Amino acid sequence: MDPATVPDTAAVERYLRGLQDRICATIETLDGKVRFERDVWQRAEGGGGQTRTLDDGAVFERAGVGFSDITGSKLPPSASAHRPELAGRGYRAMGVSLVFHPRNPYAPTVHMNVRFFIAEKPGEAAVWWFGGGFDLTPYYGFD
Amino acid sequence: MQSVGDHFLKAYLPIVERRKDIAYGERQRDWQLYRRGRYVEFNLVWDRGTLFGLQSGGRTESILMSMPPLASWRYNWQPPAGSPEAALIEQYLPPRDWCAAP
Repeated sequence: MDPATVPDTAAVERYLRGLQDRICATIETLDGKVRFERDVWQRAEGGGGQTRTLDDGAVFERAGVGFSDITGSKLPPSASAHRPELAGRGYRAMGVSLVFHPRNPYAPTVHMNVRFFIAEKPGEAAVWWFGGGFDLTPYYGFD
Repeated sequence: MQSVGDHFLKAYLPIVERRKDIAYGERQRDWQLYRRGRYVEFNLVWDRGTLFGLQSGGRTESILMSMPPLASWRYNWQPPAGSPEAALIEQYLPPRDWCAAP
């Protein structure tokens, strides 16, 4: 993709909301005991999100899957640490973050985050990027 | 980003399917809660995503949804030598190239 071209943010948002739906539906089926509760929230500075949590399930003691889409007037230092030239720009950040804490100690905790950032400044080209990854926190090792 | 998102369930579900019904007792549960305490430490002190949420004036409830419902802390505790719990620390937590041929 040409870095000068800003991605279709509506398509990014559709993908992320769809991802939250797909993951929650699959986890509910696997757990079989409880369902996710939804909490739609707004943020004073701009944007909002939808947090879904599942508590006290058969397989998962706690599962949380959040979608957020926020805007702000100054990119925080945690997001501009590797790109100091972007410090203080206006931004929009969208993402899905999840953490599952299984009940069984032999099953690892898992965390995933995927995100899209766009940092803007009047008179300059917008800078945007995607990020993400996932990791496991095991309690017992298996070879 | 789509590849990471689309592969998450494919990567994690087979693991949890294999482990969710393994029998365990109080010892394994205590160890899980103790390690969760360290997970909380990492998440609150070091995790960049948590930091971004807090620095951007995020919603505290949504940031802390990732916390485990129960965790424990014990001062200067070490698992017994030779135990599966010690093996986690000695063999599985040090950085290793997990994709390298054995």
